[in-house]
Amino acid sequence: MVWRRIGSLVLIGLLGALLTSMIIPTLPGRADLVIGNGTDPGSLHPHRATGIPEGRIIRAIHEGLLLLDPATLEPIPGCAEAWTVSATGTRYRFQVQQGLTWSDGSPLDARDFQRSWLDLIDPLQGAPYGDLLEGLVGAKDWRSGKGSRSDVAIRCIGHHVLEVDFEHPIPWFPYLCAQTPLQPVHPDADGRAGVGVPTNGPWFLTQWNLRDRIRIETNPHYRGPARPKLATIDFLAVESGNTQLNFFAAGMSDWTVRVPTPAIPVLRSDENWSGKWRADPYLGIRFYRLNLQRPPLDDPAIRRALSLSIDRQQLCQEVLGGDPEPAYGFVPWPAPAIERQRQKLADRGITEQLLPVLPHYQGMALARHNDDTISAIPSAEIDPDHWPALGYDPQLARDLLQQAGWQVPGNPQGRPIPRLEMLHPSGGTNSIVAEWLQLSWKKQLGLETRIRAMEWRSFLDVQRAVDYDLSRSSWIADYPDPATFLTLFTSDAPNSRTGWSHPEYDRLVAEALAQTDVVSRNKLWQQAESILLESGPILPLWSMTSNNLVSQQVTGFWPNPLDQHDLRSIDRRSP
Amino acid sequence: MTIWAVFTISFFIVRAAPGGPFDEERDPPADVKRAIEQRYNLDAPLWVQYLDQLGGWLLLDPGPSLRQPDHDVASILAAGLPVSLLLGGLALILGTTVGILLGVLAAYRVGSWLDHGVVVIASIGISLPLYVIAGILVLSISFGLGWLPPAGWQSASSLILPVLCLSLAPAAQAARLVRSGLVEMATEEFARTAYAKGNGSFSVLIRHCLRPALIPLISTLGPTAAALLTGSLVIEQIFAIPGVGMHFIQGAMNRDYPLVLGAVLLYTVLLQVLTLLGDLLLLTIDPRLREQDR
Amino acid sequence: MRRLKSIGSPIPLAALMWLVLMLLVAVLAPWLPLHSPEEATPRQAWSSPGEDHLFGTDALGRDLFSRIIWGARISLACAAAGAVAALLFGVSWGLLAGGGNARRDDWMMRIVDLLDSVPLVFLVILLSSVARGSSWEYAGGGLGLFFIILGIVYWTPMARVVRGETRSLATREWALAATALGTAPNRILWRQILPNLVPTILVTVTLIIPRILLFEAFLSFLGLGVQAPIVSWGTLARDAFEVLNPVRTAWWMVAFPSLALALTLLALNVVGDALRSDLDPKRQR
Repeated sequence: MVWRRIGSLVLIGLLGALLTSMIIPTLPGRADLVIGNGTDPGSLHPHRATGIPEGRIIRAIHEGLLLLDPATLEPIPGCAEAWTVSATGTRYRFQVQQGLTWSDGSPLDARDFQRSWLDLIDPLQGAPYGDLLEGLVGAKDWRSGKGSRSDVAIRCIGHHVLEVDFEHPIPWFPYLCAQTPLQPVHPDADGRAGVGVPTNGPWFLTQWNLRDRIRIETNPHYRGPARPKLATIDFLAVESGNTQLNFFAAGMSDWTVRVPTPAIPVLRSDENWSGKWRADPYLGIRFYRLNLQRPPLDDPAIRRALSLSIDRQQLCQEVLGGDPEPAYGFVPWPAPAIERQRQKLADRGITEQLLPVLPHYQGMALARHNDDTISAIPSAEIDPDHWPALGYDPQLARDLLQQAGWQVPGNPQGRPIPRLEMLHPSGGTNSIVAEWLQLSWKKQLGLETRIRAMEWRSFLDVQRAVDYDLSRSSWIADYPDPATFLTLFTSDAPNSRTGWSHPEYDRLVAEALAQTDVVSRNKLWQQAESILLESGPILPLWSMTSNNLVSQQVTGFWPNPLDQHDLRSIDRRSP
Repeated sequence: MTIWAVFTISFFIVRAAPGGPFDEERDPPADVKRAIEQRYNLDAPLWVQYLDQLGGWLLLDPGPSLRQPDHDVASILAAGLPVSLLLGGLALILGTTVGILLGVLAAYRVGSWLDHGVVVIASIGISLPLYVIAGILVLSISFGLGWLPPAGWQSASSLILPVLCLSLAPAAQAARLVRSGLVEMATEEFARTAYAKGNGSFSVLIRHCLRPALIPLISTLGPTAAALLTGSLVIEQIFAIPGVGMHFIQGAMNRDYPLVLGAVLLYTVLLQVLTLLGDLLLLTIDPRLREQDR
Repeated sequence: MRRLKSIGSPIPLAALMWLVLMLLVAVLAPWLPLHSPEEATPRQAWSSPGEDHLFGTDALGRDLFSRIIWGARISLACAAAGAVAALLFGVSWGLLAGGGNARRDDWMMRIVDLLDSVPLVFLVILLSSVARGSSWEYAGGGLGLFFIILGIVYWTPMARVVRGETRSLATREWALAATALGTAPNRILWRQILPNLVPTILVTVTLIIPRILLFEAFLSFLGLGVQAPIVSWGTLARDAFEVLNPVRTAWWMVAFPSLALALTLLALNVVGDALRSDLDPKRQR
């Protein structure tokens, strides 16, 4: 009796163990590089992917016509051996390498790019980034239903030359060729990606364990110019910053892209971590959208006062941990900010060269002049030492409000300012920043605000309906050109979400887009940015940094303003 | 019937929530979005979509997830379910066993310090948010002592911490129910008779009282098991475990309509099945119930 | 008069006193000599406990001690709201179901079953997104919606318990006698049966409140809890989790809020258990 019981218990135990071993995946050892990649990727199809974690994987398993030099971000040959631009800047011609194949061995040539790009533009396929190629001759017509697929100016000359024509010069096009949406898609992909769908990069997908890890391995059919050093790479899907940090601290990952905010000051200063913590200028801006249609924000004095009464330096230094730089303009990382960032890195003993974020563009900054007037001036004219306190003058803020007839602390005359509502999505640093803003405005201006946190999709819904007073926003460059930021607020821009419209601004943007000459083009961008800063619907807060925690065994990891680190150049030394 | 009703309620609640699955900070242009919605049939009248989804689920083929279009909802859930079943099953077994032991221990010396001690220990596990407990455990055991991996899903040792955390609540519940059950039973006549026969109090407790005292525990086991087996968002997130628990929340937050409906249906079906199993178990343990049914 | 034996013994008594203390500080928070829970001095962020800040400070340099006390206010208010909803809605639902004929009982309990078959979190997330933007959102200083959701979620266990007890009481001799004497059924329910349910209801409340407090903490973890700058024990627990990593461990941000929450929940459990053994009619023999 007793024995039988024990026997059945043992049997159950064995069965359990068997089951356990069946469910827990057996991995063929640690990958050469393990990346804590953030959220579980959505789609790995180049036309459907939208996020950064997806892009990291897609660019490793695909290869575009061009690649970006990992250190300088200059376009370099990928599938195309060479390329030329016409004098007008509107025609690009690519010479595609001979003998390229997909990871299943089937041949790949210029026609695959033609087909993939046309699919990207195809209005019926609904690719979220299809508008990146709207500048092609015939593309806009097709997308608005007036033209057809055959009218789009993407031509194959033979099997190895691809030629495209743009309406206007698109100086950032070579850069786009390296980006996720323009990667070639296999003809049999049928809108899906995954294990078994051929790709053309140096690696191919061998395991996709949902919400766990994605593994890629060397593609034996790869014939491109890159010489990748890593044979296997794992991308871990880890949602929580704390868990990411745990993985990294336990040596289970070599590179982590998300850490909890409270850890950042320690990561910066502690000698165990400081060498691994990379916070480099990133082409992204954090700001609040302002609703100019609702009182009291329709009054420029209030908008000025809101901006003047927050100490962005304190926000960046003491609330956000010290990496981001205060923003007084909309195009992030103007020269003085970069200079200060370089200084901060040097203070930590890191002497790496930082790339100028937008080499040809001098961003604008809203600054106070000696006569107390405020206007936008080129930020390069500002001494980096004056940069931190540039836009902070609470006394001037109160004076402005008082002149405009509002009630301010110490002066009870005037109309009281109605309570403002601050909208932000829940999670991340959003809440702590909103609380800090609330306290600053309360203290400096006696202004009452109400914070309204919403989960992401509801937040976007409300923001799109412009049903807010102030709403947390960020914008990350699609390509390294001021255009990606400054086209955001034109009257017909799909993502403006402010209802703001300024004919002169629209005109300047249109003119800049059509301008071939770099100098006059950037002058136009500066004028547009000035208008945006002086009367536009935004309250810039800080220029963003990339947040990478990278093991010191990892080599070939360069800081760059796009936070794109081509895995082709990365290696990991054994400890 | 219940399942259908839950499906219907869930469907309309999900669709009533503002925002759509394809909204982003960088929104696609309006007509592109329309094209995407058309592809997933999201532009049809709501009742058509409702019938469509219902039909899809009846054939167990609800189509692709909206956020992860490379995968079908059915395969996403099928990938996570074994993980959750394993984790939840282990936690359920561990929690219930430990809970029963603690409950017996406490009931053996009612009102003593042992009793109070057990009650306190059993309650500590459910007196703090799970994520705080998990955080403390990871920090002390994985990093302080360096014993177990802090997270991940790659070896049996990575199971230990999450199972431990997950078993706290069922252990506390079981301990509490068993203790009060035993205390109550000990005053019943059959127990007094057993004592009178000269049996030791511990053996009376085990031999005569434990079985009936388990009845309240078993009747709560169904819902507890359903909750455990469908995963826990907190545990999955902190330990990076690919179970299905996350889909209830992420699916809802991402407005991934078919996925979140699938997760809800999964929970409901499991709950029904497990409640039924619990009832059957009750029948085998308590012969009186069989009599009643006739 | 029943003798309250268990509740008089040292441990439950201490637990009861702790609960009363928490309730007192929560109610009296505005009049206590505390730092403001919202006043931020980022320069003093992450100070460990000391003279100036008894329990240390958080990421914005806010005083943790006063945040815990103000948090008690909100958390206990949430608990109270949930309990009131359970009492009003759950008790009457259970009473009406248990006291009615078989058909009424059947459909009323079916609704309870149905609600319990939908996963809780799912319901809460979507209900809160649906309700956002409606006038409910700001009722009660931004907490109204939250209270309502807690109420919606936590009335079913109460309804179940009350219904079960009602059914068994309704078949007792005295209830049958009252029916035979021609007393209206509703009158029997509310006047005769309800008073007899008080012990059960009290015990159930002490069981529901811990669940509400933990659920509030869970919602804060998801970022769906009470909205800043309002502070609750749930948001404090969330902040504690943020510093539970191998890089920065601010022990005071974990220890003190956890202690407050754990002691309170423990006390509720202990008091609940003591109440149960004191008030259980079966033990009165």
